[in-house]
Amino acid sequence: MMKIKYYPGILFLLSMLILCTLPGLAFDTSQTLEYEGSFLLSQQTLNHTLTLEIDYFHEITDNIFLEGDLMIRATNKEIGQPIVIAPNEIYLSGYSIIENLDIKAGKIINRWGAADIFSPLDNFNPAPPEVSLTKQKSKIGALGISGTYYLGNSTYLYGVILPRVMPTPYPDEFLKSNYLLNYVSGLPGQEFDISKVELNYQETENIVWGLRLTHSFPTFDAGISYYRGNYMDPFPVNLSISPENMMEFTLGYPSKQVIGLEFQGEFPGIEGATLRGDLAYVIPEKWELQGNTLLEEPYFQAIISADYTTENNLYLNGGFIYGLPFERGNECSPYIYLNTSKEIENYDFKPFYAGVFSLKDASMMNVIGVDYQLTDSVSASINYSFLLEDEQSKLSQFERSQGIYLSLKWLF
Amino acid sequence: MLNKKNNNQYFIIFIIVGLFFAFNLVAVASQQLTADEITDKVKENQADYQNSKTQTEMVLIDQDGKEEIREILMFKKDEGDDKITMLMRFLSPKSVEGVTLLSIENGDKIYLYLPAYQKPRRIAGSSKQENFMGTDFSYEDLSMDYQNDDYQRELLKETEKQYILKAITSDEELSYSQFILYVNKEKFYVEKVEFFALDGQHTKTLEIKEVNFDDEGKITPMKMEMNDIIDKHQTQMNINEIDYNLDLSDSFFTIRTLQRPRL
Repeated sequence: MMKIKYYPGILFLLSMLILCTLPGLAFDTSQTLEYEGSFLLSQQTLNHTLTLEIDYFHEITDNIFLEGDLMIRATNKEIGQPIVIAPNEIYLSGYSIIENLDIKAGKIINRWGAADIFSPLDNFNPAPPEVSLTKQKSKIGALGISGTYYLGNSTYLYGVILPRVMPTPYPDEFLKSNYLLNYVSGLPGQEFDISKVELNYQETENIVWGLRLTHSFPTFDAGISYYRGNYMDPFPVNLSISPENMMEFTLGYPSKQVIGLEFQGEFPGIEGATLRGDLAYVIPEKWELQGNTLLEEPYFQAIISADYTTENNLYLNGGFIYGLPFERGNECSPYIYLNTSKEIENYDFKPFYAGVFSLKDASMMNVIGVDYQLTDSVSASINYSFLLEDEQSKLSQFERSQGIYLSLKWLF
Repeated sequence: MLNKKNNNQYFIIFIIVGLFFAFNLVAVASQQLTADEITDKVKENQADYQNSKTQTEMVLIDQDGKEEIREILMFKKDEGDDKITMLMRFLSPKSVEGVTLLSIENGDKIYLYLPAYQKPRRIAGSSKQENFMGTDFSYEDLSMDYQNDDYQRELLKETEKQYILKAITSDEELSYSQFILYVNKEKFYVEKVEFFALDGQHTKTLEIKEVNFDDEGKITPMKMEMNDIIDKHQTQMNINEIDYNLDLSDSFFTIRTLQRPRL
């Protein structure tokens, strides 16, 4: 089974290697080899991940390109796929084939919203199932078509259609242990282990689509958007227990609509800083599990942040968040966050700090570390992540990620 | 009679001498160019183009002499009224490869495309005063704003080889309070610019080390050095290739170009 699972990836890799070496069909490539190691305090485990990412493009004509990136990854993380050999993106892009229209078709990534992290408007592609405060999350490509129509040089209309939902790739074992933790405690007298849990997935048949209109004003850009698709994290639909104490979860992906407003630029009264904001009004499908309503009422999510660099090269990015990505409906609550780093003159070290503080229960997640540029193409980063909280706090989702992290990256 | 004749001769000599001095005064006055005339001549001598494409090597040197070399591709478009729109992409090293900047009309609108973000990011207009990507050039410096007509100019000094001009403004929205420009007297191009911050402190010096003259005598700076006096840091820009008046579409200098894999 394992071998069959990886055949398409290996086949793709071989095809790429052959294509890259064919005369007249040369690809422009750049590669990143990254090692990530972590010691997680809550589980006392040492994790290793090695990733080779190959970005490529081939110019078919002046206005048509074949673009993408191939990912080869091996990890022993509980929350990741052990081995990935697959194109994360592979698509044809056409620029001005039809006047004022640029299109992409294939396995694509669409990033909507103006905010750098936690944008509630960025709903087309899932991210690997980890929450990071320190870096822009990588996204996973999804099959689809996107187009941008340029109404002059300042107004743009974006459209995306994906034939099916691309869910967040949680490993089954992780979901099983999570559901056991959350649901078994409510079942007195029952004892389960993870091998006695079964997961079934309910198919979603919706086409995912969205439209977004942006305009560039003299000092800022603003846009409105509409998304119709699904949550990318699974929700339990049904829970049943067999006479052999086998627990069976049926999981589904509720549909949702998101009406969005975004802006970025400079506004009166805050000269010198770039303000970015995403506001989302989320209308979920009603979702129940055994009489308990998990989703019903529409709710707001928002992030508003400001970027500023001081005269002595201290970078500050701080803001207000209402609803983190794992919060829905009434769970959404207010936070403030700060992301800062300092360029030190004539040194290749760059210390940084990132933190999120819950205004509801005063819990706080912190990351403190240092980036080091060894050479033009080799960099390293080390950080310590820790949570200051009471039990069951709003930020307890970060509890698993407390630990020490190291990464080494080589670009070639 | 003799006296009258002599009087006429003196009068003629007086007229001739008077005319001689008058002509000389006019000639001297005509050689004494005003600051605005010098600036106009500098602008006239600049390469006249609708757009240009340059391949440039950028060398960043810190106070210990450690060098970092970057290669950039830069497109410029003359929008008229001293406004320049610029699209710049880093080609190397790998750590910045693909980073693309669009600065519209002297930085009135700035967009930065970082491949890791996969979307263009608008930068606040006031950020045009900040240094760009670790260089000693701010977004605004790249637009050569020291030639902007918003500055009032005066001729400070004239040496054997240079005119030294001062450009000054009271407009606090501009990044610098004044520039001192050193203009080559023979060829009328700016050889050196000293930048003074709003508090009056001399912060940077730009030196044009090498220029290229085309067939019409128009001038393009080919090698320049920007020295940050406060941080003791230097950025050298060496233009390796330059093309003028390319056939670029109207939409080239917009955000739709930022994500194109090849420019």
